[in-house]
Amino acid sequence: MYLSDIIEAKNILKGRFNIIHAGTGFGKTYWCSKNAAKTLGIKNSEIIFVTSRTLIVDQQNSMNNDFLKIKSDFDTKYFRQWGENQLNDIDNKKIPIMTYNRFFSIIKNSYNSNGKIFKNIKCIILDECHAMLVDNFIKEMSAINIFVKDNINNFLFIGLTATPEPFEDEDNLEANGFNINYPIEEKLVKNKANELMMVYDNSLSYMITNCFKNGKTIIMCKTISDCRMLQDRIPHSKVLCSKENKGYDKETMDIIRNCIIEYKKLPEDCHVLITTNTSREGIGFIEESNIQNVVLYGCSDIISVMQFMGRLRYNFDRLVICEKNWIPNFKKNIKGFKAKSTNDCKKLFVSNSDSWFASIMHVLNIANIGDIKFPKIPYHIISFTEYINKKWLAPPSQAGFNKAYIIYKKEDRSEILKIACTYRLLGLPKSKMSFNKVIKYMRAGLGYTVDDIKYKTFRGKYVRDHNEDIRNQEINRINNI
Amino acid sequence: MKKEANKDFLDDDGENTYLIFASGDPRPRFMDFLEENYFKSAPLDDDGEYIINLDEKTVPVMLKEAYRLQVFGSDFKNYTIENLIQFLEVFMNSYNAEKESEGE
Repeated sequence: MYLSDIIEAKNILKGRFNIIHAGTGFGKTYWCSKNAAKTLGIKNSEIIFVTSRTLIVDQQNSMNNDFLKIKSDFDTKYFRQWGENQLNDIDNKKIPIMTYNRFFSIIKNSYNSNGKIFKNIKCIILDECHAMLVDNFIKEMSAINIFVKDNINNFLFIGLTATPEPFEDEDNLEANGFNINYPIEEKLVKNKANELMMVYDNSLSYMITNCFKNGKTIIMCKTISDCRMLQDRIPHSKVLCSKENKGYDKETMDIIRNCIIEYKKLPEDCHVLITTNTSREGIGFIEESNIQNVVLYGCSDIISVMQFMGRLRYNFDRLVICEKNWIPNFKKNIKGFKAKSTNDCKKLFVSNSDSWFASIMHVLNIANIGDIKFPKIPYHIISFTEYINKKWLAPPSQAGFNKAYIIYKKEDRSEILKIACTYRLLGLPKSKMSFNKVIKYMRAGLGYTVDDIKYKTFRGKYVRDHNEDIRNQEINRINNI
Repeated sequence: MKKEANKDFLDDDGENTYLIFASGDPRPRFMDFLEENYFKSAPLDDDGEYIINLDEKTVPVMLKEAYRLQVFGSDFKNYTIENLIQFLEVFMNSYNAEKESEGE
């Protein structure tokens, strides 16, 4: 079932803020780019598509020919069209796409010049519209909210979101006066997590490296400093933040960003991506990306949870909530937990309003609170695995591999044994400890694969056949697998 | 990878050498596959070293298994003979006999 199949023009009302409530994979953006104009009986160029992240603008602009990125506040061609002139035939077929920031900027400049705003525009689509009420870091959001309310009769306003809850929040003054209409009554959700796990802050690195056997992991943090802190603890992980963030590292992050935009996957050598809320919305990962673990670090509010897990367009293994200090209280208070935003998450955790769990139940393949997992990892295991992961764990790509990861010297073995004794890994006295026992425990108890024979037994050499056809043959054969 | 460099990896007191992989890493399984199907039964040359022939018969089978295990990721384009050779060099302690003889 796709949005294009079920949405009807008669249910989209002028004078109301029409919120289309649907999760990822229901073709919200597809409907906007391919069918919205047809459904509404207008031209593509008479629509404006506003979204919350530059990453989304770039992704849509690169993948979808129906959109045209508005590159500057004074994109003259559009300004003329929005003012007086008509566009040419080619541009008439495209929908201008921009971020909320740019949208605000255009509104402001038009007011300043006393120009009539968006003269030839009939419909304004506000993507990820919950951002209008929760993204406080975008200072201009209040002005946009006022613009929408003031112009509710001048344009057809359509909001798209998987999480419309902020618009129903009576405590949020900004939410008042939107005059909401839901063109589709049904709550459309496609992708679910098979498991919900609550993890202590200090166990996260261990869980990701040693316990999550399948697939890659994406982690969302509140701040770039949280990302960097986790990166230090999780071996071979990579960080991505917003291009506007001063912590944006062009050299490494451009590769990740472009891979997400172009292929909807992580780069091959990126097994754990740690990101800020720049990745909370809009971008999508396909099943071939093999991301199976979605982690919310320090941002367990419902909007963040629902939006971030919505990045995956398929069912996945587990949703992991990781908070810094207060998880021990979570279990006993879970019925009273409802977080509406990151900031008041902790406060609402102990309130007696609707439960947090009930709010996300429909995106989980578990039936009750008892099925939530709370793994408790002893301190000595966490400490020992942090040491191993930092120093000895083989990097995920061959390119990052070097001799330093191979345990082959006496002093290497002595060091590992010493650390294991320090942390009392096996609970044995020093005299009873041996390197072999530590390796055995790492295999059986800590989830590592320790390969111990290849460098001894197989000092082989290979002879390459230089037949030029081999390469073509191998590709053809694999193609037929 | 040169022969001399390889000797660095060998343990001098008869004990095993170790390499640690994260849970779910497909590479040890691929190493087991190579060991079981090629290295164990590889013929010895005059120097007493194993010879693994990479030819039109062995390469597609190795790459097919690598792809099944997703050793080089999900992108089919990564399953090239170059990556396979690199894997053999890095993880199976092999080196290209032809390259070495060219050097000499």
